[in-house]
Amino acid sequence: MYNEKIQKSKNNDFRLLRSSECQRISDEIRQYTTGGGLTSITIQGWWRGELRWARNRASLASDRRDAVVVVDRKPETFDRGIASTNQLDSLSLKSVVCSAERSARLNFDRVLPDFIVPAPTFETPQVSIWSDATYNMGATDRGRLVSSLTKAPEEKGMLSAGYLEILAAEFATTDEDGAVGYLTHTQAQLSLTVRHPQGAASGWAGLSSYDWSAIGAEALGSRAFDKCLASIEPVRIEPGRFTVILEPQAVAGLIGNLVQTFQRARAEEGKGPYSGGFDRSLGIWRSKLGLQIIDKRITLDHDPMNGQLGVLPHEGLRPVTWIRNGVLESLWYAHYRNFNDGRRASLRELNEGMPPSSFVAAYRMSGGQTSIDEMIATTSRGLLVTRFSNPILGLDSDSLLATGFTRDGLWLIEDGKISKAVKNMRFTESPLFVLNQVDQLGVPVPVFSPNPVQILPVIVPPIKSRDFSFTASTDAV
Amino acid sequence: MNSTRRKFIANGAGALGATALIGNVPSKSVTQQLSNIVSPRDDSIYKPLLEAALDAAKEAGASYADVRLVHTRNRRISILTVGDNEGITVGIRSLVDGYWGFAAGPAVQDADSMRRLGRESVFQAKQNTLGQVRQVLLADRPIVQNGSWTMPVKIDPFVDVHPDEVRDYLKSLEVFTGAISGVVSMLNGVFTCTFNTQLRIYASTDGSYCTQKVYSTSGTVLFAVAFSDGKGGGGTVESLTPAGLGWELFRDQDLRAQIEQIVEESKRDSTLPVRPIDVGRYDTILHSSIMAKLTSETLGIPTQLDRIMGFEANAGGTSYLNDPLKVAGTFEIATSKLNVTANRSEPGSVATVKWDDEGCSPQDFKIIKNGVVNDFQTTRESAGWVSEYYRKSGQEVRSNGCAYSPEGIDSPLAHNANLVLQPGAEDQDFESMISLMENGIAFRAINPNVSIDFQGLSGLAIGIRVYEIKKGKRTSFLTNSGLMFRALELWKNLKSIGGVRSSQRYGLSTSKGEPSQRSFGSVTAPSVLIGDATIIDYKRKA
Repeated sequence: MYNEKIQKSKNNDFRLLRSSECQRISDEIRQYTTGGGLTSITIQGWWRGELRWARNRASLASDRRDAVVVVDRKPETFDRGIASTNQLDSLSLKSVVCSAERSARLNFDRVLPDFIVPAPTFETPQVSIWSDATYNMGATDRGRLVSSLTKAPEEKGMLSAGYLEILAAEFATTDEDGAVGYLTHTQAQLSLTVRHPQGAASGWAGLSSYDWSAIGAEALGSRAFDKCLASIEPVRIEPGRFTVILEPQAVAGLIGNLVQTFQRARAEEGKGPYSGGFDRSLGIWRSKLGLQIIDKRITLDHDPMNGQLGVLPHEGLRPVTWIRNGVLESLWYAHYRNFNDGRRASLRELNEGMPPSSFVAAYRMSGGQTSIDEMIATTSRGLLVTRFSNPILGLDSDSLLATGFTRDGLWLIEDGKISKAVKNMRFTESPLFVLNQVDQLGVPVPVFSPNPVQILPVIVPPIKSRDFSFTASTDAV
Repeated sequence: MNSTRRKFIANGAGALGATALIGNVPSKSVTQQLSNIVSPRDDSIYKPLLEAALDAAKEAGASYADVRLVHTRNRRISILTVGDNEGITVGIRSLVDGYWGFAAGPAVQDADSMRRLGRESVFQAKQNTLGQVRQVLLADRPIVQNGSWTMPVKIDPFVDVHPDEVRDYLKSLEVFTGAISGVVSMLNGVFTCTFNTQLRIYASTDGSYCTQKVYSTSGTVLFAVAFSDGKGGGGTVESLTPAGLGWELFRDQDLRAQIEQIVEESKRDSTLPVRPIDVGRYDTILHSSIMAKLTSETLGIPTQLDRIMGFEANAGGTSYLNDPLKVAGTFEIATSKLNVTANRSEPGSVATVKWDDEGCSPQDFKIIKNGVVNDFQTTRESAGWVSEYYRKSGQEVRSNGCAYSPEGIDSPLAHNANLVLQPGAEDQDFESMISLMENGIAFRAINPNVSIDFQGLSGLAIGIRVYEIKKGKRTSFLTNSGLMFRALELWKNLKSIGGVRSSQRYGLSTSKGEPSQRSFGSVTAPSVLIGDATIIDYKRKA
C-alpha cells in the first residue's frame, strides 16, 4: 500500500528501494546461505533532503541516500551471526552471508538475544506514517523557506541558524519463507535558533512530525525570533527553589527517558524508583505496580492507533498505559531472563501484553486546560523555561535525580507578569519529584522529537510545578 | 589478493568454516580472506569514478568541488561473539556563488551514478543562491597529486590476527582477573575489542587526489570483583581508549599489570573510611584522565572556529570565546604555565592523518600559548574568517587541517584534532603530587560524561574515585563529590602541571553537526594541581 502511494506521488523520482528490489535482494541472499537453519534479512534504506543554515545564510544543502542490508543467520548447528553492508552487488551479498555464517561459527551458544524471524508482513497500520507533503518538500522549496525564515532576524541585526530535514525511509524484512514485508515512512524536522550578534540572547523553536504540513514553519520562525528579542541582556539571579512553568519542550526534555526507566526486572530485584520494598510474607521484592507514584491528574500512555502518535507498524504493537491517573500500571522487561532451572524467558514471553521495547520512547502525557499565560498570571514568583540543553546527566538511578542546563529562553515571573530575562541555570532535579509537585497543567501538544530510524512522537502538556531545584547559574547564552 | 579472494568465494563458506575452527593462528592468507564483506575491487577503479563526479559538478556550474570516498570496515570482538560490518559511501560537495551543496550515497561502480551525484550537489547549492551574497574564500593549500599514505600499524587487525586469537586473549585477561590473589569471584566483567579501518580517498576540482588508509583500535576491559574479606572492587582499564594503532594496542602494553593495579587500588580503597564530601573550596589534584576530558571539553570544542562563529548554534551550541578576532593573541584563558598544542601527525593518535578531508596536510599548531588563546581549529573556509589576525601576527592564512567527515556520506566539519596539554618542567605525577599535599582532595576518576553547558564554560564532573588527602596520605574515600568549575577559573587556578611521566594519551569522542557526526581525537594530558577548586555534593538539591 505504501509503495503505490510513493509511485503515485513521484513516478520518475523514486529515492528509495522499491518492494520488488528488496524482494530480489532478499531472494539472492537466501540462495547463498549454507548450513540450514534460520535467516533474517533486514534492508533499511533512506533518503534525506537537508538544509542547514547559520548567520542568516544556508551553509549546506544536501541530498543523501543509503541502504544497508543486515543478514542475521542461525545455521542449524551454530549460534547466531550478524553482518551488514551497503554494497548490493552479487559478490558483496554473497560475502555478507559468508561473514554472518562465519560469525555464527565463531560465536558461542546463546549469547545473543533470541533469534526471532519477523512476521511475514507488517500489520496494516491504522494511522498514516507516510506524507506526500513531506516527500515532495523539495530542495527549491527548502531554499525559499530558509531564505524567508532568516529575513526578519537579519533585518533586526540578529543571527539565525537552523536545520531542516526531510526524511523518507524504507524498511523491509523477510519471513521464514522469504516473503518480504515492506513499508515506508517519512519524517520532517525543523528547528532554529536566533541569536544576538554579540551572544547576548538566544531563542529556539522546533518541531518534528511525519507530516511536513503539521510543522508550521512560519510560526516556529517567529517564536524563535521573539524569544531571542525577549531575552536580551539577561540578569543573573541566585539559584534556589522556584516555581517553574515548563513549556512542553522543557517537559519532554526533563521526562524524556522516564518511559525507559519503567523496568520490571530492576523493580523486582529491589532496585530503582519502582521497587516497592521487600514482602516478608511472600519472600519477594514487590514493585510499585498499582501504587500512586505521581500527580493524580497525569496519565502517561501510548496508543499507536492515535493519529498523532503513529509509529512504524510492528507485530505485537499495542496500546499501553504506563501511568493512569498517577498510578503505575505497566512495567516492561528490557532484557531476557535466565531462571534457576536453566530455562530462559524471551523478551516476547516476558512482555506479553506490552509493546515491543523499541517503541517505548513514543508517549503521550495527559494535561489540563490552563494556558501558559494563565499559569504566568497566577504565579507570584517563578521561572518560565523554554527548554533544557541536551544531554541531561543522570546522577542517581534510584531517585532519577539528574542535572543539566536551561537553554534559549529563561524568564523571571513576578506578581503574575514576566519581569525580566535571566541567565541560564543548572538544575538538579528528578522528573518524578516534578510530576509530584504539579500545580497546573496545559493542553498537550506534539514536540520536537526527531529520530534517525523510527518515528517516535511525543505529546506533552506545559506544566507548572513547585519547588524545582536550580543549583548554579551560568554565563553561557 | 583479488584472485585468492575469488577462490575463497568459489570454495564456499563451508570449507572456510572448517579452516577457521582448526587453530587460533591460521596463516595470513586465510585471515585475510576471512575479513572481507565488500566484493574485491582494486582501489584504482575509484579515480575515474571520482573524476566523473567532479567533471559533472564543474559542467553544472560549480566553481569548486571535492569528493570523498570512505570504505569502512569494522569488527567487534568479545569473548563470545564476533561481528563484522563493512560499507563504502561517497559524497561530493560543490560550491556555487558562495553556497555549498552536497550529494552522497553508497559508492557504486558506474560512472553515470557518480555524475548524478555531481549534478545533484550543484543543484542543491543553487537552490540557495537567492540573491543574498555569501562569500566563501578557501585558504590556499598545496595540491597533492596522487598522494598515498598508510597509517603505520604493527599488527593489522584485519590481516595479521584471527578473531579467535583476539578472543582467546580477552578470555585470558578474564581468567587472569579472576585468579588474582584475594579475588574470590568476578561479579561482572566486560572484555571487548573493536577494530576499524578506513580507506579514505579525497579528490578535488583543483587537482588533488589522495588515498590514505587509517586504523583505529579500542577495547573495553572493566570488571567488578569480590574479595575474600567480603568487600568488593574493580574498575576500568584506561589505556584502551581509541588509538591510531592495530592489535598492538593490546599486545604492546602490560594489561595484566594494569588489571592487578586496579585490584590493588580497590583493596587499598576498601580499607579507607568512607564519608560524604564536605562542600567547599580545596586544593585539588586531578588525574591525567580527567584533565584529558576537561581539555577536550573546555579548550578543544570551544576553539572550533565554526562553533565560535555560530555555525553550531542550533546544535551543540557556541563557545565562550564569543569573538575570535577579539580573543586571538590577547585573551588570557589560563595561567601563563598552560600550553596546549594540536596535531594530526602524532603516531598512534586516533585523529592522525596525512591529509585532512580537504586535502590539506595538517601542521602542528598552538591553541593556547603561555595561557593566551593563540589559534583555532579550522578548515579551509573558516581559516579565512580570522585572516586579519593571521596577517597581523605575521602568519600565513591556512587551514589547520581539522576538516573531517566520519564517512563519505557525511559532509566535512571541523572536528577536534589530537590535543596535547604540555607537561610541566617538574617531575611530578599523580602519586607524588599526593605525597606533597598537606591538605586537599584528589580526583582519580570521574564519570566520563561531564555535565557542561552549550558554550563549554560551566561544568560539573561527577567523581567516582575521590580521596581526602592529609599530610601526603589518603585519609578518606569521599562519596557524592562533584568538581564544579567555570572553565576560565579552572585554567587560571592551575597551580602546578605534572611532568612528562604523568602524561597519558586517551582517545575521546566528540559530536557536532546536524545531522550529528561523531569523531575521535586523542588528548594527552598530565595530572595537575588546581587551587581553590569548588567541590560540591552533586546529589544535593537547592
